[in-house]
Amino acid sequence: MISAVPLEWVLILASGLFCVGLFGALSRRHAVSMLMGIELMLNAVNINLVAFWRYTQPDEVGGMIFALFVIVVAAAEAAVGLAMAIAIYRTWQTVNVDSVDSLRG
Amino acid sequence: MPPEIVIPAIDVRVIAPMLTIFAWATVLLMVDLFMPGKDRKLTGYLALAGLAVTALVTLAVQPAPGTSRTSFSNMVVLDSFGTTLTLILLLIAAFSIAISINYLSYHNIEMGEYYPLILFATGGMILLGQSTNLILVFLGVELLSITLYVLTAFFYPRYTSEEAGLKYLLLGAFAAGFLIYGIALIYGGAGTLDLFEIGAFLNTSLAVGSAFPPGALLVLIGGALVLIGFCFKISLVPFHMWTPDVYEGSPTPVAAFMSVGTKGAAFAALLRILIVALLPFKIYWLPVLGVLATLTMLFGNIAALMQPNMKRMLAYSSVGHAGYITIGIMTAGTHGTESFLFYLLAYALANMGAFAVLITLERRGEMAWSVDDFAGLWKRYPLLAIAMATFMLSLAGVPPTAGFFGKFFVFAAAWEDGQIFLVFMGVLSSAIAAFFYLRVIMRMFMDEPVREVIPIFNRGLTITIGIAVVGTIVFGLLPTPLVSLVQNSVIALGVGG
Repeated sequence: MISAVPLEWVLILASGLFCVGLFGALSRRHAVSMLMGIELMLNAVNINLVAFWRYTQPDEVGGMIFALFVIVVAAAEAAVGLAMAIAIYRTWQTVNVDSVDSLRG
Repeated sequence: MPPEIVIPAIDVRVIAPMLTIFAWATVLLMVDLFMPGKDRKLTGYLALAGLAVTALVTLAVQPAPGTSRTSFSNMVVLDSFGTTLTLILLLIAAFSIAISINYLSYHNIEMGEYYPLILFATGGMILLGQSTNLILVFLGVELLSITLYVLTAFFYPRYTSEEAGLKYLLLGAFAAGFLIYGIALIYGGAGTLDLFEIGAFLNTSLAVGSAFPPGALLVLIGGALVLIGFCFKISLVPFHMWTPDVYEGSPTPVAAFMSVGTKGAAFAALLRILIVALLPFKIYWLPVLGVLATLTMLFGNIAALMQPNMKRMLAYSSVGHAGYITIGIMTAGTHGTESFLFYLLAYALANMGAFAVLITLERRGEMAWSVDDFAGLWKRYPLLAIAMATFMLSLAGVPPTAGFFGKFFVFAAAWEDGQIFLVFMGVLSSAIAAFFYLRVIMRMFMDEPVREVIPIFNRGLTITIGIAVVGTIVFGLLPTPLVSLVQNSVIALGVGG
């Protein structure tokens, strides 16, 4: 089954997903949408890690465990990020990052 | 067949400092919950006690000079470099807590979570300094970043603080995406996450022939992405744009903590990655870091020249200092490691002190810290003016302060390594930097007061400023004990030994 899908295809899928996330994080002006883009980037990394683990060294656990760590860290980051979006909305009445811009110079 | 999981032999001494600080922080979080009343100063004092205990544990488990201990399948190493770095980080954390204790109640943001968060961030920094596995590097970076996002936005409901927190979080998470994508590529190329094994893999695969093997190419691309991720954390130009905004918006003690702690820990991890894992690629990363260091030193110091706002000026000056520390990292093979540690301590003393002076002048509900507030300080509070002048001179690198020897050792290491151009750019940018540091001193000693600013003093601030002044001058006059300390702080280049 592994031979049916070459490793390169999975890596191309992951890099495509990473670029979609990158584009989302850079082009969106809504804080929550930017966080979603960043989540996509992290999930692309997970595909990479799991693919490398399965194709190159299925007897070790490093890559698979790392993917679990990334999921946990992404969840923690999303929790803090959304909490901050709520705090921003309460003080600024908006979460558009172009409007939330008072620090300059 | 599912992979068999073997539990390796564990040497708890290797992680004892981290274990202590994390356990203390967790218990402190619980203790704080059950503490009666609104006063949270006791939590702060308990956190300080935790840092002291961690320092004692660190000293108790430190390895003999020149040796190192590894454990947990070589994921963590305890070498004398890690021990010295841990002690410096604990000192930075202690300063940050000491200047926070009255700051929080004065500005009505006193919440008990603040102190455990600082402890967790410090634990993450210690982890970064000791990890020899990319999983732990990632965990350390995220642990200190996520706690710092919260601390940056701690000044709720001041809107600049929330804005700074959001900017820091979005850019930090963005950088983390690059960092971890790079780590995944390194894992794919080398087939391992262990720094020593990556180094060994590169040595063997590059030695085979003239062709560039695809595995090594993946590691090279991954290494570049990891470098970008770290450049955000240590704010090298052109990845520095968040720094002034975040420092200005966050509570001042947090800015002080970030400006030295995060930088020190991230630089230490980068140092380990570069000289343990990616040393065979030195021909690639050396010129890249050289360009980044030059840009950072020049841009940081020139931007600081134009700043009327003290907090932003210190932010740009910290960008400039990141450039000097990068030179220390680049020459890590020879004397760079020692010069890095010396520079970090000298910079930590002067910068924490300068931020502490800023806090004495900070008034409730105010968001601008103009250089004007320092005008005529000499006539009203001569001791405070002398302290601030000491820190400015040390940051500028004027003898007889610790900052002078920090710069001297960094430049000497670079000179020895043959990086003449970098030494030249470093000295040039120091001359630019001296201009704006001396401007603050001129305002304090020569000018008349512009407006009446009454400094607030308390025990934590006085002690911090006192220790910082004494340390800056003593290490400037007698650097020998500190030099011998950092000279023994050798980084572990192999497993065990």
